[in-house]
Amino acid sequence: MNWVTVIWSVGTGMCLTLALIEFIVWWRDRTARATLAFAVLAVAVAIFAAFELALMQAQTPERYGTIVRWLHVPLWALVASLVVFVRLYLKAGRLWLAWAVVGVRTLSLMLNFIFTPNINFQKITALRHIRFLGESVSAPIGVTNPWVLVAQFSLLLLVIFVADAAITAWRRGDRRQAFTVGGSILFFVVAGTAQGTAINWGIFSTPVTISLFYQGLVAAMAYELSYDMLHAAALAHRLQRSEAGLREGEKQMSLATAAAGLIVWTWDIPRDEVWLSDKDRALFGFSQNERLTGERVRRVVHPDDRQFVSALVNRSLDADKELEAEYRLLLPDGRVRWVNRRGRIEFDSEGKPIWERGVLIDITERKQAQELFQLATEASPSGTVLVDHQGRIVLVNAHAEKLFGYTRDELIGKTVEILVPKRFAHSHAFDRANFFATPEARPMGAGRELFARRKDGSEFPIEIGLNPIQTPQGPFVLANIVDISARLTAEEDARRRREQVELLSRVSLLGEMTASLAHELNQPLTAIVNNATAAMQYIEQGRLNQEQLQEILTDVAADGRRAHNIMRNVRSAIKKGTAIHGRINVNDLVKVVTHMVHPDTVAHFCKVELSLARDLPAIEGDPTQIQQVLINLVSNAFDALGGVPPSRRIVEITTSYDGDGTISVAVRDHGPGVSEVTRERLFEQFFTTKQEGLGMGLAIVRSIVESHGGSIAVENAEGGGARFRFRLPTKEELSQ
Amino acid sequence: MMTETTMVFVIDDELSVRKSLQRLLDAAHYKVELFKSATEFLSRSPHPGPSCVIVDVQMPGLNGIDFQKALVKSRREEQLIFITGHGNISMCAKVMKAGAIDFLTKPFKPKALVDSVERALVRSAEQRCRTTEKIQARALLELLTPREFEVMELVAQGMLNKQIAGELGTAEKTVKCQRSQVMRKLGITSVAELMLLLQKAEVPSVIRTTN
Repeated sequence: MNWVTVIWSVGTGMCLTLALIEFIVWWRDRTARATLAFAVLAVAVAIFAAFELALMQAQTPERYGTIVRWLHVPLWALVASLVVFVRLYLKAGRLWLAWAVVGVRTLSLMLNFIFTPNINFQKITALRHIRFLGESVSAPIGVTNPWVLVAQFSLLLLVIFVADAAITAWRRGDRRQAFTVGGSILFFVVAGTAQGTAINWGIFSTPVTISLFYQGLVAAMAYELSYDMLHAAALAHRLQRSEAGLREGEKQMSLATAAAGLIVWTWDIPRDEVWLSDKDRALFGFSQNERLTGERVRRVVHPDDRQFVSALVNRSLDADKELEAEYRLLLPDGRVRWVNRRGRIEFDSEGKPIWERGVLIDITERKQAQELFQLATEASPSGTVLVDHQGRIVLVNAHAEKLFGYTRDELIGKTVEILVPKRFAHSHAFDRANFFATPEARPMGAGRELFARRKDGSEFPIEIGLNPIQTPQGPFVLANIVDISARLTAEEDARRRREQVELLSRVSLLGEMTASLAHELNQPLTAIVNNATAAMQYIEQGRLNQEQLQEILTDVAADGRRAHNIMRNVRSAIKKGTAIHGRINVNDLVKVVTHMVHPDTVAHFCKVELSLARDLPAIEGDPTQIQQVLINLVSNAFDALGGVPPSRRIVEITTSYDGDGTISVAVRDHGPGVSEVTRERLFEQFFTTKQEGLGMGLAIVRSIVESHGGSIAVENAEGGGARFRFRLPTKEELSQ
Repeated sequence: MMTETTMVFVIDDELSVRKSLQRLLDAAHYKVELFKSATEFLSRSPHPGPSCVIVDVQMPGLNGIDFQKALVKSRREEQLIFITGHGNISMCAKVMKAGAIDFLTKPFKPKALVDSVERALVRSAEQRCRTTEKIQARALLELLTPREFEVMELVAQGMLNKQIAGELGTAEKTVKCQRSQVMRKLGITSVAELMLLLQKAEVPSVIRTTN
């Protein structure tokens, strides 16, 4: 058995096998260029080994020289592929060194073909036959070509290049690769080169077995690559396992997304392809195999919102920002769903968008609730303003717009103080802060009169209900505002009407009272008159004794006292019923009374003329009593005008400030005036000039005026007619 | 005609008014009796002689108006003078129509009251007188037999004896006899006297015929 042939053949076969395997690997995965380099290397080594075997069996020096010359071709390929392999595998090594190695090697190859027989020898003189592994092999004897240094220099450069690359890789942390690749290459290349050089320079006389070293190198590289392969297999295994986990995760994820109503999607922007889960495809009415473009998917968007979404997407393609928007989808079954879209666009290193990943959240219910809320707010009969904790207006309804005269856009985002009268704005901001400190539903400004300001600056009375709302965005206050000016006016009207009714009922009560009073008083008066008459007749008849006279006079006195008591009771009843005291603006009272007696004025064909002092000081007293005085005087005036031609039927009411702490009110008619006799008795009880009068009116008037600390008098006015004037002390005067 | 005692009755719930009226009427020489209510007065037996009642309109219990109605119902003929502290026209008209003498509002003039009392008493006396004559005339007419009454009625109608005989279907002689009998029984001598008697007796059929 020929061992050399066996070993070299096996080596060649091994190299070719490895080359084939790695080539197939490269063929499957074109990115594994290092593997291709290895395959080339292995092939080169295999060819080299084959040449080497032929060299050992060469019988003539010429043949030996020729083989050596051709041996340089696979050697060149070997060096070049080794450089490429190191560069690719270790991802290190200086490029210029790599080029230098290849360049010098190429130069030596060219020189090799210039010289005869080759670059190694100037001349092979003879072949020696040496016993090697039990076989006789050839070894050259000749003159060394000095140009062989070029080839050896290339190998030196190779060593330097590999060492440098290994060091870089080592430093980088890839120690195993640096050690295995760098170490083995250095070892085998140095060893091979050393042997070759030694043979070349005739130091040893052994057959050339450099291929063995290179085969070792190949084996080491193969080992390294197989390590990678093992690693890849382990990785694949792990990947498989993690994929299973991933699938499980995806399942859970899809469960979670389904539960949360989430739709997850990915948009491959360069390829314009959208990934959606099968479930969501079904939801949107896409078939399972249909290719989904961005445009196709966007067709799910509600037609009214499509333009908005397109604009949104286009905008987001330019900016690396989280994208959020709310819009409607129109599902194939006709349902409309509100979604919240959140997505992020990923950009490559050149700033081009590659992916958009996002989720759609179904917010229909929230939106519906929001719409309902909005509808309810809009429909609210009161003005509604929603304010955040900083006092900014967030929402207003149509009623509020109408109430304040602002449009919605003018209000949103402004502080709520814009709606508050300027003089309250500062304290309002303070109150607002307080409210947020202890928020609870309550009417605002309880017990105070509140005013709001319109856009035009005018103010109106309002009532406000405040409701705090806690939201994830912080606390808000919902204010319901009602314009109460109409209500206040109505209340004022009602109050005035009530007063009138009260007054009228008092007046009619007074009428009843005077009627029953008349009856009451007539009894003692009758008795007095009868007794007196009887006494006079007794005297005439001369039959009145002392005793009888005393009896009669006692009765007369008793009846007189009784009449007096009746009167006193009436007066105190008038006073007692009216213990309401307050500030009175007499001018206002005059106006009210004028209004009240208007029907009478018309019925009597009269006219009432007012002449009211400006800045009349207030008096204190019972407004209804003073009204009663005025009504009495005015209706007396009407009566006095009964016989006067209509053109002169004028009643003048004048108020004035007398400057001495009293005000005076005069009621003047253009009637016949009062006679001297009448004037003296006018204010007495039961004195009347009227056919149906009871003689109570002016008596009551006087008692009212006097109970207010005032006085009343009558005079004939110049130009005719009577003038009743009463004076009342002002409030200031009373308080002094 | 003042043979029997004349009385003035006063009904008023007010003591002082009652007392003063008593003095006033006493000074005018009337006999006065006081009552504090209408019911009290009605429980007293009617006064036989001429009388008048001064009554207050407004009283607790039976008031003046209802008191007047009660008197009319029981055919009593007391003359009434109303006094009131608070009267009106319709009230006044009502009581005057029902036969009151006067309606005075307090405080009235004492003279006016006394005048009214005097008038009331005169009328009361006249009335009493008329009543007496009627009773006497009717008593005379009671003496006649039915046939004589028939003859008397026809005589009063102005018929001659012959006509009466024809009417009754009797002889003229018989009529003449009955007629003289009637005149004797009634104590009269002429037809004119008969007519007066019948008027006093207030015999309805005869009054109707004569009218």
